[in-house]
Amino acid sequence: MSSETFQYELGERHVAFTLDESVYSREAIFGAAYLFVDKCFLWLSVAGASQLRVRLKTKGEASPEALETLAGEFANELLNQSIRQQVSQDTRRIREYYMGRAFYGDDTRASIDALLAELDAEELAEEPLEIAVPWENSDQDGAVG
Amino acid sequence: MAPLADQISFHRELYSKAGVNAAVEAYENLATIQVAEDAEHWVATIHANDSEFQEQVMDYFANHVLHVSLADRGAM
Repeated sequence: MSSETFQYELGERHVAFTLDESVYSREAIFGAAYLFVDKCFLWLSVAGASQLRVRLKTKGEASPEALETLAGEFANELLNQSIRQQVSQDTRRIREYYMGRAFYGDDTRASIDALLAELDAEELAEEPLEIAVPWENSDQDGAVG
Repeated sequence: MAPLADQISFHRELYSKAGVNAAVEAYENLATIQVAEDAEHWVATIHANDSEFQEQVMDYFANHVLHVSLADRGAM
């Protein structure tokens, strides 16, 4: 594959192309291949240093146009997988942070405990038995009315 | 040496031995399959029980190996 065009070779029922791993990572190629296993027959091979050969063979008869479309769809999926991988790498630290907080962090628990302790302290100061008394509400209602 | 028509070579960097074994197990009722290995590949020699389906069996066998190999790598 050149930097400007997607080059491929067409066969009777297959289309083949070489991918440069400096452009598309092996993980992205594997991800795209995985999604195409149910669409066609795939064949992967090592074509050279940092180059993988991909061969897509249709499960039935296919026109050259259909093969070109298949190759184009694979190329699009390669791009999609590459972007997903990049986003995954870019957000890795923040995902790890949130996962760590969700599983191991005690900040939330501590803040809730502190709030409950504060409420307890206030209530204890005003009402030693902490029993709700209806007349307080009645008095307030009367004062308003 | 070019692979024979009834042989498929699976590069070890791309395909897993577990994938090859899983495919052999899945297709052993449809074909006689022998697996050898060289420095870089696992080489499966496949003879379909019904020669009319030789090509299909080889295609599906290869896809099976790839699917299991990729699934093992977590490529999904």
